[in-house]
Amino acid sequence: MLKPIDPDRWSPRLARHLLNRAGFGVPRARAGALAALTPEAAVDSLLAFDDGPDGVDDPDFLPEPGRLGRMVSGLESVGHAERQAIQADKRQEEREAVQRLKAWWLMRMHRTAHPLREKLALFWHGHFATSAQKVNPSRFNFDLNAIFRRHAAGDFKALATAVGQSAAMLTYLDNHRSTWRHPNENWARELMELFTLGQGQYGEDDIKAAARAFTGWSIDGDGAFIHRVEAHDPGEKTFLGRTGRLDGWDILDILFEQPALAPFVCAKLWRHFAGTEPDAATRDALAETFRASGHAIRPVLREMFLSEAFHSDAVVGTQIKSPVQFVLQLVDDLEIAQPPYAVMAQACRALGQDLFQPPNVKGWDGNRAWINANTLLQRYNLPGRIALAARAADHLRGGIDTDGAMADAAMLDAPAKDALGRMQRAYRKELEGAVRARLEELPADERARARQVLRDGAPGERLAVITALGLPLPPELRDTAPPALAGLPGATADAVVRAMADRYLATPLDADQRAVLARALGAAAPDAPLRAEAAPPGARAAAFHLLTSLAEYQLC
Amino acid sequence: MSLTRRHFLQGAAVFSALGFAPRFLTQAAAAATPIHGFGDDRVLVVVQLGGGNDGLNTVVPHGDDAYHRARPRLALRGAQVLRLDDYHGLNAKLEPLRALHDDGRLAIVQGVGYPNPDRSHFRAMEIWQTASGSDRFLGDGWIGRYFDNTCAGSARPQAGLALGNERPQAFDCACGLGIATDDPARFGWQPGAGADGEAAFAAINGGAASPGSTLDFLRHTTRNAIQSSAEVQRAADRGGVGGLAADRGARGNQLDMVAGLIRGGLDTRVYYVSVGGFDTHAGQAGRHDTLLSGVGAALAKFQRQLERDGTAHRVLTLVFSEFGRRVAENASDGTDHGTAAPMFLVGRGVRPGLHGAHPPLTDLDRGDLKHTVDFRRVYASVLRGWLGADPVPVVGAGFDPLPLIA
Repeated sequence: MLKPIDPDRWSPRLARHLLNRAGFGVPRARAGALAALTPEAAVDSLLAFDDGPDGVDDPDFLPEPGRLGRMVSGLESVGHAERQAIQADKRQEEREAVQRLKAWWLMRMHRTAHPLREKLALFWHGHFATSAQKVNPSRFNFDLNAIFRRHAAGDFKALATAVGQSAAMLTYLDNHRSTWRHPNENWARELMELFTLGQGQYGEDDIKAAARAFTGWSIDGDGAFIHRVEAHDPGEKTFLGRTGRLDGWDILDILFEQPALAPFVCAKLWRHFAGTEPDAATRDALAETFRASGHAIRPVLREMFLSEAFHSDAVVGTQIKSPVQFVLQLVDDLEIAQPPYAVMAQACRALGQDLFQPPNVKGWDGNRAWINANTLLQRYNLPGRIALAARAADHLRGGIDTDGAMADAAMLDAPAKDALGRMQRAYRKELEGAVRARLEELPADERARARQVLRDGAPGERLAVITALGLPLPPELRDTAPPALAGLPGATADAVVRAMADRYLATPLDADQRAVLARALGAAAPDAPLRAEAAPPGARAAAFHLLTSLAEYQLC
Repeated sequence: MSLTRRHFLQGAAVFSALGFAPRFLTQAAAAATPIHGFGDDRVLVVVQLGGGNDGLNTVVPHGDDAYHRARPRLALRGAQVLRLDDYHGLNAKLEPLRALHDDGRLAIVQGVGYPNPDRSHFRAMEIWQTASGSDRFLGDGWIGRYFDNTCAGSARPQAGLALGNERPQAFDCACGLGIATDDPARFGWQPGAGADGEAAFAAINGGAASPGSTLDFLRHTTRNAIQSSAEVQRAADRGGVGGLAADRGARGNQLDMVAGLIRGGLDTRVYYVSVGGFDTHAGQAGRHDTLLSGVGAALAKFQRQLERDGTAHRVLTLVFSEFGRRVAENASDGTDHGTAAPMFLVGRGVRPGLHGAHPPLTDLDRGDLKHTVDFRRVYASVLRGWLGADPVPVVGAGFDPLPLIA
């Protein structure tokens, strides 16, 4: 049993930490509610979910798998070319459904009443990784996603069995085509190496025996699990020291008797939620709880979330946000009412976490593996893009009517692109008017150069000219600061900056960093009197831009 | 960045008015400065043909009756083939490659594949990019493993540079090297127009953090990224890549950009470009011709540009696809996913001509060619012969280099 947290230490900061880790840190208001409870009550409120509804419906846009293919192949009159065209259309339809599925899942993670259930579903997706790159029917991918939700904090053996019998896993690791004549070892190998025991706990012979035992685990035309007796190898096998006419269920039974299973799974849970490598005592204490409960996940999580170690300085504010966590907290910080989930899903892909398409069967390594020069720059540039995408969507709904030059149109879907085009034209018109008036004052050669840069320059160059000449700023740069920023308390610039850090970051800032942000807010000195609502919107936007360009903003 | 470019534009205008080449061009030709973190100044350019290029209609076994029997409608004959010898030829759309071949700048490796080939695009591409066997899932890429095993700590993040929005799996590594950008001139943090400029961005991330901490790691990576993006933008400026030209819609192809970045002196060891569309299940003839015309012209133009820039001696280009296509044409005038296919190596450093044996067309595995050369041997040849690296930690033991590099 891990040493529990001292209830006297419970604070708004630790409540926020709990919401970050046992959820996605959103909505922010929920952290306030957790802080008002005891630690036990707070943790139990997050663990209090079952299979029931969470306020978000399952997707209703998934095509039914199989049926069309069977219909077509049943028609003798359909020619080869036509058949191929129909199948290509079908594949395309499925690919589009998977794209929608990504956005749908982000939406569910964002809006669910049970954030821990979604966080666990994401954990299991990385643990039992399959990819829609290979598993074409979107329905198969969603069905496995639903299995992760159904068994999120429940019986791990029931989860592993359901995964092993899912169409997504059976096709991803090719077991659906594994026969006694040609046993396929993929599933058997990964089941031991990645899903239950870890490397070094078994031999190649055990893989071969398990592969034979799982022959026959397959799917029917609709993706439902079936045991194909004619494909199964009924012969005698020896697996981890046990000999008999073993089948797939026997292999799972034997795996769950292995002492290596509990510490392997518990260490991975700790790494995911705490973000650090567990010491042996922590791992073994959780493993003991796991075994004693008959491999139930919930008691392990409860002990972990209530432990002193989970709320220690080594853990709080030291985990690198996953791309999913990053975009969800970002739209919450930006207070975007209707987040552009499809754009966010594309951003997650660019940042290395493509939902339903993990890079391989090992899932995502997480933490520092999320970060390289490339992804970090993209993270720093993302707030502007997301704000822009949200504004383009707002514009479609008639919310705003201008926008500007920092567009990255590649990030947008077609209607948003059209809206963006209209906004850009409106802004250019506005800019053109100001340019005509302002450029008259310049010498001819400078005027020509300024015109050229405004027309052809990179965004940074255009902005340099725009600011140098005092021309109208692109609208999205005038006011990207979230509304709440104007209401932050504090009588001096430094006090406002402290309040910003407290609200938007998991760790405090040092005096030098605060001074930079205070200057951005428009204060001559950090101790200059300045209330947030008095700072001009452009200055608040600049300060917020710098805040989200902090290394600290990557941490939760 | 804006100042640099403005000065460059002014400077270039002056030079061209006087009829001189800008000085950096002559410098690039003369200097042999090693790429940061590597022992020499050599560059590898990987060109990925996505979708599965039809190898048999690329390097054509025109002298084989079995080829013509298997493809009554799609087989190339007569003027559609540039004969290399009585058996082999190139698709006539690859005329620019034949010129490279005749100049001793082109090596063709035939029948490249691997055991138990996978016919899924995704999985096959993963196998090629991670240099794994078809029964293994590797977490890192082959170029990434090369970085992890050979380059010194002074290597820049742009040691690997992919043109496009996505960093290829081939770059995945422990050392974090490798960037992706579709516009090198704009690779970097986007400054704001107010007090949120580049100086402020550097300042707020400039402080010291507890060594080894995650924050320290993030700040270190940030500073590295700032420096790297400045270097990429500078090289793009010097090489005339992207930026103003891109805005005017005159971006040119990815290989033009690569030539420009090499000319601009970027510390990049491996460039990665890709072109898709090779999945020719139906109506292949016209489409495949168009694709090959594009590839052939781009490769030849790239090589000419390198020669003009004086950088050709430094550059080797490697062309691959995730699989070839079925020997027999299908009923839709196309071809389905297959196995082994030829690879191209282009550059002054190649040992020109045909390498390896063409897979026999009469000894097939369920309608597909049996590979005669494992692709990891080609990687090993490039690693050992061109990059001077031990191939074993990258592709594993048992994949001996071929004599592809002079």
